Amino acid sequence: MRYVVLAVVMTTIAVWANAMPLRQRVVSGPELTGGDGVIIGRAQCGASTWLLTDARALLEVRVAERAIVSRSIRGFVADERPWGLACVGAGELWTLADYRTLARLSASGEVTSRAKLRQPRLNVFGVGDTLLLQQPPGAAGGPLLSAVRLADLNRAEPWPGLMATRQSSVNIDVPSVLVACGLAYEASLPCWITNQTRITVSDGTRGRTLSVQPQFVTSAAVDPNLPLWDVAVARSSALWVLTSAASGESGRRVGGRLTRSNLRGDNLGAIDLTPKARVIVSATEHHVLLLTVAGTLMEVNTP
Amino acid sequence: MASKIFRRRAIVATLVVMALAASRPAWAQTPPNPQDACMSQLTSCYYWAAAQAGFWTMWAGGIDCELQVIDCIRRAVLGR
Repeated sequence: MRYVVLAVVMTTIAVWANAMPLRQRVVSGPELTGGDGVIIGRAQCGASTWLLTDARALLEVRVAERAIVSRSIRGFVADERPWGLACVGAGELWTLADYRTLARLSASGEVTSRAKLRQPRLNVFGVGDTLLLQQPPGAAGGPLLSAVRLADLNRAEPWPGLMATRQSSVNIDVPSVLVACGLAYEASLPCWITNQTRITVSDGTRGRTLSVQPQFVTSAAVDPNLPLWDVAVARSSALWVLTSAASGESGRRVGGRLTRSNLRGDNLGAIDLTPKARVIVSATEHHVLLLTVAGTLMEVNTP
Repeated sequence: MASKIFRRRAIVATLVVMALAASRPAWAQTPPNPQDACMSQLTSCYYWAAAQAGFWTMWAGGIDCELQVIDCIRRAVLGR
């Protein structure tokens, strides 16, 4: 009996400790301005996180230094509209220059090479030495992401977890086939369909593909069109979920609330962000670095 | 052949416009869906594609229209 009481007390303390509110702190002055454009791709490479913007800027966030270095991108031709950013292998940055062209970017922002794809692709992500390309939606049940290696970009393997849903022939719903991916921990990458709340965490094998359905997403005041804004997986199965806010100061959607969760989707603590966040820059088990709408870097920590 | 493609794209464009018009009340209480503004471009793009000379140019133009709409929506939805 004594052990039962002790176990109950310990469990209660553990849950209470886990669910304690998070703390936020701005750690750098405004490093970005509105002229830096909308972020259209993010990739994590070693100690840096890279952001690509539609103003043709490549931003390097040096996580340990809490600093951002911005460089102009050179080398895109006039009709190329880059989208997505991936870091694979030994720090190689790749973006989609157009639907059928992958372009490699140097750290100084130069387009150094291009590779043609046989099929059009909608987005690019990276994990380990694998590029994930989003396929245009095909038949219902077909994979939305395929994995390719740089050595053979046209040999694609399906990436498990996210499947195309049946589309009505009348109500076209593009967001229901657009995929977003967050920050990976080792080979585990979180991805989700933009208008859904279910997160798939996978390393590319069916045996290690998990589906997480955090209930707290729908209970908060999120934008129902785009409930999840960003997600990061960290050590010890920690999952950080940034949910969308209805609108931002600039009229664009933003990340309004950050919740610490796990692979069961439990709410282990949350915080309403001030200022709101644009994107998660890095994440560990007890700590997240975010880029805010004010252009600052902000830390969120567990107590 | 060309008029058949033109007719098909015109029908799709009409259906898209009707679908958007029909679904608007359900979204009245929520922020604007980024899809709405982007979809309005599709109709005019299909007309442009259907006016191209030659089957393959017309066909490729139609695909480009669809990819342009997806690009517009992804920038609104996924851009941060």
